[in-house]
Amino acid sequence: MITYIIRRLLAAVPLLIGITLISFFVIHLAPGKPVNLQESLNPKVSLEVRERLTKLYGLDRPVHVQYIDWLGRILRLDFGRSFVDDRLAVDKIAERIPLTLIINVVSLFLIFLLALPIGIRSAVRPGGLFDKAATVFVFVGFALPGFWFALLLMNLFGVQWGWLPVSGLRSLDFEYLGIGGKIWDLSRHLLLPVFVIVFGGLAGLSRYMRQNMIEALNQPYIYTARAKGLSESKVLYKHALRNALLPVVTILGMSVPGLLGGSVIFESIFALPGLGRLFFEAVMARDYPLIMAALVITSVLTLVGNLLADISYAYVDPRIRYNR
Amino acid sequence: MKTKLLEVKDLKVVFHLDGRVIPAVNGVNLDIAADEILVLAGESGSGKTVSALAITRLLPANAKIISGQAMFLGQDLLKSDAEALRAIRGKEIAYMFQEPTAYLNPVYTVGEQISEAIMLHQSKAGKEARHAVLELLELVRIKEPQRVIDDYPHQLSGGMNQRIFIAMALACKPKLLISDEPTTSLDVTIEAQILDLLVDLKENLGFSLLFITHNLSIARRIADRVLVMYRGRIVEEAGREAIFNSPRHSHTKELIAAYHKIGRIGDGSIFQSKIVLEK
Amino acid sequence: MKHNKPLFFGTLIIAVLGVIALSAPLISPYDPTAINQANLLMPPSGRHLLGTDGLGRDILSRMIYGARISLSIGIIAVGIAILVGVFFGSIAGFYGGIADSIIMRFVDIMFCFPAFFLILTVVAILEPSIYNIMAIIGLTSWMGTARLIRAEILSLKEREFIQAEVALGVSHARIIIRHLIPNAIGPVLVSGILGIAGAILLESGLSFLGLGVQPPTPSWGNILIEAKSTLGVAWWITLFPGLAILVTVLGFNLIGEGLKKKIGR
Repeated sequence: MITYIIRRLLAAVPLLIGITLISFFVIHLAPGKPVNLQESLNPKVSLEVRERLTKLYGLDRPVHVQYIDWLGRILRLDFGRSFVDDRLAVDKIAERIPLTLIINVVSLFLIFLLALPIGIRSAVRPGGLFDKAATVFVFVGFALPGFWFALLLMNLFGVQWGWLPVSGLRSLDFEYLGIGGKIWDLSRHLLLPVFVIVFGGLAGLSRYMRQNMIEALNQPYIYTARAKGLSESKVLYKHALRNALLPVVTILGMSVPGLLGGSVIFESIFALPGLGRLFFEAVMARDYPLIMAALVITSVLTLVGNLLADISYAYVDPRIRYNR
Repeated sequence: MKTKLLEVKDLKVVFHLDGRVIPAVNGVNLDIAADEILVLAGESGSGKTVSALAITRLLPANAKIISGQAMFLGQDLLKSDAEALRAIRGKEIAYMFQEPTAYLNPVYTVGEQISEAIMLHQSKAGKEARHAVLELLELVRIKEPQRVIDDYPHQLSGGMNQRIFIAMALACKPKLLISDEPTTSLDVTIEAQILDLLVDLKENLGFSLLFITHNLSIARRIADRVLVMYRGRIVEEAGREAIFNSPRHSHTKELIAAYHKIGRIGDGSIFQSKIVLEK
Repeated sequence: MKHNKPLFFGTLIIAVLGVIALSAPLISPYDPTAINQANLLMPPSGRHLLGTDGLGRDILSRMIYGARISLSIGIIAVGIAILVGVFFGSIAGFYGGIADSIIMRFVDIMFCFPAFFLILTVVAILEPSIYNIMAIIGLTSWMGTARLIRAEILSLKEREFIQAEVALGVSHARIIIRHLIPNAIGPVLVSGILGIAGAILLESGLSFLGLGVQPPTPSWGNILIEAKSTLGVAWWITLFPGLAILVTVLGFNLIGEGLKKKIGR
């Protein structure tokens, strides 16, 4: 087990390097120097500032030297300063991460909570009424553009019925609310975004769970369990489910990039001050240090997520954990 | 006359595949007496496994028992409800399958799986159950039962796992043990050990053994009586010596001849794959 | 015999869509970019079946041309993804060893990036043109295909007829192209069809954010840009483009599902 973890950690190193390489060079696809482009957007940047930035980012030096420099700096978590407001890139990202994290963690939790029973129930009676209904639901969920669904819900719940706020994180009178009121207010603002994310994610996971469960129920050891005289629910939950759930852990890791990518659109629509929206603004402003920082940080988060998922899987599956 | 433990009359089973109805068992009659070893022999696809599964209603969803009767302890198993069946399975009738490692759940230790059977039918728990498991492991001649009890199936060899299976099957002292090709995936020396173990246990504990195989030389070794199945029907029934000394049906003769020539009969019927016992 | 329901309905939907897209100039009632100050934000009527937008443009016409745009972007992006994916996947699968390790690590790295982040970055740097969008969507979606092809080739590689060809000295490229790829194409086709659906969703999301197809060129995604500001007032701007995306993606998903049933995997 320990050797497995060490091997995985070592294997992650080239991936980290690759991430930095791609993040760096994707920016340098731009014709002309990043600073020039910056200047063309922001005419107030004077010659001196331009020269200072050029020096600071070593933009007058060859590209591979720039890369090594940048790599060295980010290893010390120095991602430079935002072009937009000269604040440290890490600071800007760090202050936006919590919101995005909360939204996505809560969404993931709800997705799992709902998708697993749906998948199990579909698998127990494949082709039955529930399964057919769930399948329709899944197909719609896969085809539904999330941002459109968000617009529809915003229209219905926000504009037409006025039940829920449609933008921002807090109401205007947030400061005057008590703790309970504050929590309630936050929840009301996050309800729609989380609902939209969960609805979209539910389709995939329930389908996956259904597939796993059906495969598990077709395994030979299920015959053994029945032959022993176990009740059907014991066969289902004790024998089949335990096996079907194993690979689901890895799904957790794989969901991270999808959720982060989705956060760009959802945070923009719902005007939530999260990481996705920050990235979008940085892209619009050609704020390269921030863009590179966000690319690296989110990819590393994904990598860590995958690593944790793999290690959990190795722990939970006795065939890997005790590998003589 | 020995008392009849299990009496099966006119068993007919069909499979529904892609809209077609495929007969698998076409009117099988068999009976087993108490304390008897009955070998059900035949090539793959002859319906022997299907017949055995039908008796305790363990068939897959696309199989249908369309007629027959299986009297066991005064009950017709083919008409019993789910609760009655669960009371019988594991407790009165136990199963052993081919490829024991595949038929054991990979995420639980072998000890847990054996004690599951014990706790289910014998209301023992905790330490008592573990103790019972250790005794069973000794009974099936496993060395170092203390270590093996906490191992997972993938950590043990096929032969070991088959012993585990025997322990699990005998945990509740069933009256009938149905063994479906239990030694087919093992090598010859282990096979001999397992066969000897089964016969010894049968003598000591007193259960009947329905042994399914395509290998007639096994029948020669352990059977009291032999039933030969071919294409869903019993084509010959005789005592052990009679089968080999004076086989009457042509198929029986083929089976015997095959074993003298090449050792193992190859497989190849749609039934085997559709039974979904193997992947 | 289409008793394969998903395949039947999916193909039906996409066929209708394809016809609409191809015959856009013939069936479109108005010029999709024609601004008409007198007709701003008109609800659906006899003259404008799906209403007009904030610049008086006919929504039905914009959606018909939008079908063209969205479909072509989807198809070409996936085409690129498949080409790149098959290329890398077959090299990795066939040659194994170092090439395999490098390529698969590259795939792993690419999977770490939230696709949308990468796409946004590149589109912003290179200016959003339809060609850039096609290319970048394609270049961020090839990894799944690469893994698929590699897996297929790994299993096919061991078959005798391939070994025979290698022994006979047939050139590797020939073996890969003539034998391995055609046999492996089944799952790739399915993933390609589903990929078109995904690409359409990506493109509409990009356009909605303003970084995709640029107005006045119509795309279902960019028609929806106005939806946010006209929520509750002009329901037709929100409803129809989104519905179109939904139905189209559904169509492709159904075809994909039907194909999966057909090749039995």
